[in-house]
This record gives sequence, C-alpha cells and structure tokens, in this order.
Amino acid sequence: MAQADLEGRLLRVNAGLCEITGYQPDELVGHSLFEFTHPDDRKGDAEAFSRFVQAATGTFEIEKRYLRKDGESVWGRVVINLVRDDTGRPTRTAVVIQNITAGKRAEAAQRQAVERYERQLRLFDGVASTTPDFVYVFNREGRFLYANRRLLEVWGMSLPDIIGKTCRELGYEQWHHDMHMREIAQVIGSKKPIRGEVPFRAPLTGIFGVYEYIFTPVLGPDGEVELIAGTTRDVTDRKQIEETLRDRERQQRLLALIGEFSAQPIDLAELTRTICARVAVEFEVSRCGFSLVDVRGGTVLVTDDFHGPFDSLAGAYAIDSFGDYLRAETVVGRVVAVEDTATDPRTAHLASNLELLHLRAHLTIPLHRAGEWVAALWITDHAPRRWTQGEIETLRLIAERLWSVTERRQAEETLYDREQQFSALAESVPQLIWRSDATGRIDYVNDRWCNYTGQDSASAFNQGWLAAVHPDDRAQAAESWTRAANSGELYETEYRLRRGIDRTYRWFLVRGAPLRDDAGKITRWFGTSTDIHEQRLTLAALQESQRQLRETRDELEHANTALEQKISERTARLRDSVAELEHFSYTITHDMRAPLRAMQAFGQILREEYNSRLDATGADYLRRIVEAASRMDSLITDALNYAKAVQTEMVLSPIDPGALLRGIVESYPQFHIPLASVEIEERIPAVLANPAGLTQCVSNLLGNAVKFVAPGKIPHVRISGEVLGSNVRLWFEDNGIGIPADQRERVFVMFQRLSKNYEGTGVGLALVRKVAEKMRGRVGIESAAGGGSRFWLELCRAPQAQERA
Amino acid sequence: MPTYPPILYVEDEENDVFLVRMACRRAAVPLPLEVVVNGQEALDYLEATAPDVLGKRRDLPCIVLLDLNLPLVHGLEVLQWIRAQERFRTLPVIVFTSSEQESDRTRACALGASDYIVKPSQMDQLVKIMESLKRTWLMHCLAAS
Repeated sequence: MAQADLEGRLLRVNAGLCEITGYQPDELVGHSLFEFTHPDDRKGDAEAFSRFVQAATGTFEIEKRYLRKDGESVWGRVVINLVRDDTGRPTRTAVVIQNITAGKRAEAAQRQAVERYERQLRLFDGVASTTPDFVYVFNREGRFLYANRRLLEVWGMSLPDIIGKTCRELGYEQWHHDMHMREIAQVIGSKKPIRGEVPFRAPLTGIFGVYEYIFTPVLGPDGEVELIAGTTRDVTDRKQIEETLRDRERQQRLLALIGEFSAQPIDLAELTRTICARVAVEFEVSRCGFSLVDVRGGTVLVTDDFHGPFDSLAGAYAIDSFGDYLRAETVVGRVVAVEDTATDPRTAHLASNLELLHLRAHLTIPLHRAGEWVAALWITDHAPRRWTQGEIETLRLIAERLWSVTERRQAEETLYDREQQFSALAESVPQLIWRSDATGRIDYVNDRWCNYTGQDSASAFNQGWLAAVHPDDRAQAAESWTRAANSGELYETEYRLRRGIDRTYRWFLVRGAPLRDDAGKITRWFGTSTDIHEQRLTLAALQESQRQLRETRDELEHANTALEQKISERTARLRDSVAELEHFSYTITHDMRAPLRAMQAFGQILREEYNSRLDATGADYLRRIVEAASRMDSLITDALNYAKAVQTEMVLSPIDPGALLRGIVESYPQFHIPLASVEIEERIPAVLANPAGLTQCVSNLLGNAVKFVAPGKIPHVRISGEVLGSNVRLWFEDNGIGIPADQRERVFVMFQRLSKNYEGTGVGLALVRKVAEKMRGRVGIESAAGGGSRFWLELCRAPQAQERA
Repeated sequence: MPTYPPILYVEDEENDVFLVRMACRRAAVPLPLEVVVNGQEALDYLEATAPDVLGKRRDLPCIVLLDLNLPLVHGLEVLQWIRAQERFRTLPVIVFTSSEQESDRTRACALGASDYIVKPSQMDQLVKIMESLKRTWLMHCLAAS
C-alpha cells in the first residue's frame, strides 16, 4: 500500500510494497509510481492515471507489470482511490497494489495451451475425418467439444451445432444419455477407457446402427482427466452375424439349463423363476416371466417373474387387462414384439402406465395347445430395444420346452399335493407314521415320530430309525423289515421304541404295506407304529395271571392226582379189606355152618334113635340145642343173603310192583285168608327196579307186616302207590304192634331186634334198606293212625313209554 | 357078594363123613365109601388107580363126591385135574359143599362138575341126596353096559 500525490509521486509506502518491488522505502518515496512500471505498460498507465485524477470520481483499477529492483517483472492489480480534503477537493491518492504475478502466469500458459490445442484439433480433425468411425470429444461435463465429419453426417448437423451440447440436447433418448453420462463419470473416476455397445437411431436422419464405442480419458498436465475422447464404429453387419451365433449358443445354453433343472427336485415355481432369470440375463432384459393362461377362466397367472431391480409383476390378471392389442394377437398365437411402448401405435396410449412399470419394450411369445392359448413367455425391458428374429426363435423354443416341463411338473405336483395331503393326514393321527422307498430306506417320518423318539426326521432316515429301537429288539426289527422289504409281504411285528423324553422303552405294533405301481412293482412302503405298551403290559399281566392260574391248576391237578391216587390207594385197600371181609364172612358162614349142620343132624339122629331113652328134661334140652342151632342157621343164611346183596350189582328195569306183589301173595299161604289179608291197590305206577331185589324187599316188608301182629289178631296189610315227583312210593300199612317213634331208625340196623317175642334175625330190614339203596331207592317208616306201622319203599318211576309197555 | 366100585368122598370134615356114611346106610347105597381128607390125597388116590401102578393099587371110583373147601389142594383144582385126565373124562364128579355162593357153582359147572349139591342141615335131606346118588350110579352103570 502507498500514498501518492496527484502526479503519482509516492509519499508513503508500506512493507508490502517494498516486498513486491524489492526496493527500500527511502528508495521509493519521492519517486513516481510509473518509474517502477514495466516499460511496455508505462505510457498507457500514466495516461489513464492522469484521466482518473482529472475526472476526480470513482476508483481507478488496472493490472500492470512493475519492474523490480532485481530486474524481474511483477504483475500487480492496482486499485487507486482519491483522498479528499474537507472541501472535497482531491489532495492525494491511496494506492493498493496486489501481487497477481502467479495468476497472470497461469493465464498466459492456458492461453498458450488453447492455442496449441486448437492447432492440434485442426490437425486432429483433418485426420479424424478420413476414418469411417465416429470420433468425438466430451468435456468433463459430458458436453461435446468435437465430432468428426462422419458423425456429423449421421446426426445431420454441423460442428457448431453440437459443440457444448449434451447427448440429450442432441436428441438422444434419456436412457442413452444417462448411460453415456455414467460412463463419462466412470472414465473420469478411473482414468481408464471404457467400452460399450449400443443400438442407436439418429433422431434427425433416422439412420440406425449398432455401434461399438470406446471412451478414453485425456489427461491434463495436472494428471487429471481433462477430456474424454470417443470413437464409435458401426458394427451393425458384424453384430448381425454375431447375434445369430449368439442366439444359437444362447438357445443351447438355455435349453440345456432347462433340461438340467427339470431333472432336479426343485419345484416348478422355482424352476420357472430360475429359467426366467437366466433368460433375462442372456437377453439382457430387465424382466422375464412365464404366465399360465386360463382362456376360459379369462385369467393369466404370473406365478413369479424375474424382475431385476423393479417390482415383481407376479399375480393373477384378467386377460383383458393387458390391452386389446396384446390379447388380440396372443389369442391367435402371434408373437407380440414392441420395441418402444412410447412410440409403438399399439401401446402409445398406455405409455405412461407402462413407464411406471419400467416397461418400454416387450416381447411376448404365446403358446397354444390344442388350439387354445395356455401360456406365454415374455420379456420386457426398461428401455426400448429391438427384438431380433433370432431372439424370438430362441424364446419360442424356450417357451415350448418350459411348457412341457410345466405340464410334466404339474402332473408330478398333483402327486406331490397328494403326498402333502398324506403328510397332513400322517401328522394328524396318533400313530408314528413312516415311509420308505422301494428298497426299505426310510425317507419320511411324521412329527409324532420325532416328538416321541426325540430324533429329528433326517436322523430317522435310511437306517437311522434303528437307533430308537431297543437294543434287544434291533436285530430282529432290522431283519424282519429287510425280509418284508425284499419279499413285498405285509410287514407286521412288535418291538420297543425309545421315548426321547425319558429314554424309556415302550412296545409298538409296527405295520407296513407296500405301494405298487401299475406294473405291480413296489414303489414305496407306508407304515405305522402304534403304541401298544399298555395293551402289552395288560396282556403280560393277563398272561402272568393265566400262568399263575395254570400253576394253581397244575398244583390242584397235582393235588387231585395225589388225592385220586390216595383215594384209589385207599379204595384198593378198602377193596382189599372188603375182599378180606367177604372172604372172612364167607369162611365164617361156610365153616360155621359145618358144625351147625353137625349139631342139627346129630340132634335129629339123637331124637330119632335115642328119644325113648331120654326123659322129659333130656328131651327138652335136646329140643333147645336143635332150635338154637336152627336159629343160628337162619342168622347165617340171612347174613349171607345180606352179604350177597351188598356184593351183587343190581341191573334195573321197569317193573309193575302190583303184579309182582300179587304174584308173591299168591305163592305164600301165610298171606292168604284166614291167616292174613293183603290188599293191593290197583294201578300202582311202574318203577325202575331189579326183579330179585324188589322181590326180596317186598317179601321182607310183607313178611314183617303179617308177623308183628298182636296174638289173636288177623294181620291186615294194605299196599298202595304214591307218585312223588319222579319217584314212586310204595306204602305198606299194617295193623301190627307198631314201632315207637324213638326206635324207628334202629329197625334198619343189622341184627337189631326190638322184640324177642317174635322170630327173626334182625337182618331183614337192614337187608331191605341195603337192597333199596342198591336200586337207587330209599326205605322208611311212619306211624299209622291205627297204631300199626306204615313202611314205605321209594323207587324211581319208570319212564312212561316203558310203563305202558 | 359082588365087588362094587367105591365112591371116592373127598372131605376134611369128620362130622360130614360120619353123617354121609349114615345117610348112605339109610339110603341103602351098596357102594363102598373111600374117604380122602384133602385135595392132594384125592389126586394121589386117583393117580394110584392107573393100570400100570405097581404096589398098592387103588380101586377106580365110580363117583367122586368132592368138597370144595379142602386143605392143600382146593376142590376146584382137583376137579380141573380130573377133567384134564383122559380116563376120567366121563367120571361123575359131584361137588358137595356148604357154599351157596353163585360164583362157586358157576366155576364148578364150568370145570365139568356133574352136579352141585349144597350140604343140607337136616339128616333126612342128606339121606335123600344119597338115594339120588345111588340112582346116578345105576344110570351110569346102565349107560356103560
């Protein structure tokens, strides 16, 4: 800074000015400013200063060079203002000088560069215009700085028309513009060239081509990208050949992919999505989808689509919603190819809607089966694009193939649905459900299996389930399952399965049935495992109790056998005793009778031959001896009869007791009048008896009845019959002496005699009872009203038919 | 006086032997009564009747009166032995016993007894039996002649 007078002489200077000029203050003060000005600028400068002072208004500004003390020139920006006194008259000037040497130098250099550049450009243009390629230059903002003649021809423009313009400003489509702007930015960032290929139709000339281009960075002296140079080659013809080749390769790749994927166990939706995604990549489009069409239902189903960064179009649509043009053509099987929805007259009216979907180009391949539209493969892109015949062909092939896979898969998925149903069913039942392949490898278990065993389903697969089987049952379970799987027979077994929750084992009934295909070949096995633990325990308990019961029974049988043996031993012993007794009684009666016989015989001989020599007393003694012997003989005879009755087996047959009794009565005079009167009831029912036995019984009873009668009284006996249920009771009522009530049982006991006044051995009634019992009958006594006795003999009644016979 | 063949009476009971002798006398049975007291003696006697027997040869009886309950050899065994000998096949053997057992009677008949008579306790009945015996012998002689 400095102060100068109105002529330009320096009055005061500061350190800054000294530094710019390289002089000391005293070397400057008193000297004119113009002394230090570069000689080239001095004249003009002085004149301008003089005009400024005379005008006496405003500020004087100038850029000029100064000569430093060391001879260097320095650029300075000078700003001069007038300093006025109190009256407003200018008195001196205030000078501010800024050193602008650096800026001035740069400016000069740039100017030189531009000049150099323009020279080069002219040279470049000369060269560039000889090539059929497009050559052009962008600045960093993507504005054209140059285009060669070939490009200008295609554009239909001149160079001044295009300089400073962007692609968009030259009529390029927005996407095309955007794409190049991105590429330019990328080149600037990376300082590396970038290649691209683009179809382009020049807006003014309508010239179309496919162009391959390269943007190359041009670095400035600072090493930064200054310009972007581009060259573009029309590759339309080459592209045509390449495209055909590419179409074929792409076609093969895509078909191979479909073949590969369709063989894999992925579901149809995923398969379709994968193929569509690949188609989109191969065709370089933003969307691809495969729609199933139900013409009759009027719907188009887009299960899923490849949609790149955009929204999915998946959903069910009414056929009409795609617009008449689409419907009209697809319904008849025509391919619909729209290269730009905005300009295509078929879609122009829908353009804004389609733009929202980023849908500027689309290709739809309708598929017909039996004359009906069934599906469509479509691709769309967010930018207009050309659809080649090769692409259409490829897409058609893919659509065909995709449809046949779809058809097959739908059939399979119906099956799969059934499996899902099975699975749902399998999950709903209380049993553990499992499934195996044809060879017996488990490939499915239901949740209950997993919940019960604690295994996850994958661990149960193949042979894994065996881990849940009780170790003791494992070999049998594996063996029986293998056998069933090999033979194809119904599988049924029982084994214990471990419960995961407490690691205890429970019994299961395991059943499996094979599923066969139409040819009878086993395709699968389905099986259930049912918890029968409780039943099994119950059964075991039952078996145990049965076993105990059996043991008890065996013990009982054993005891019985022992008892029977004991009984038979005793019976045998008894039989022996009886035999001994019989022999004894036989011997007794037999041997006793010999001396008795001798007594009787000799008594008789004595009486016959020596009676005259005996006195009355001797004769009486002899009579007593003989009578005693005779009674003894009777006793023995009766005892023998009794013994015989005991031994004799009595065969029973129907007998008319009345007839038998009348026969007996007729045979014996002691039953006849006047000795006695016997009355026999008519029509006594027939009885089952033994003739000899019955004769013995009734003879005895009849004999007793007429015997035990008070002296002088004529015996009267009345015999009657009474039916008692299935028995017949024969009554023998007499007018005899009767039997006291307390003595009645005794009369049937052997050798019991109630009265010594009557002959008898005391064997008769005992014999009657014995014989009656042997004829399955009974005998008894009641008091008669008139003081006599009422004996009864009860026997089985004979069957009616035999009674009549 | 003609020599009659004897009645062989097999009896261990002395009283019975006495009574039978008396009854035979009363019934005027002319045949001598040869008495043996047990089954073995009966067999010995009968064997000693054989033609080739040397020494004390016994007379062949025309009737055998046979008790059953005999010492040493039972009466039924004696009967069985007799019937087993060819030369005694037609010899009248009358079982004379105090047994009224049906079994004894059946077995005796089965073994070939000519008659089965229960010993009576009255003398007069015994005399009647001996008279019947005499008639049996006479009938047998007539048949043989």
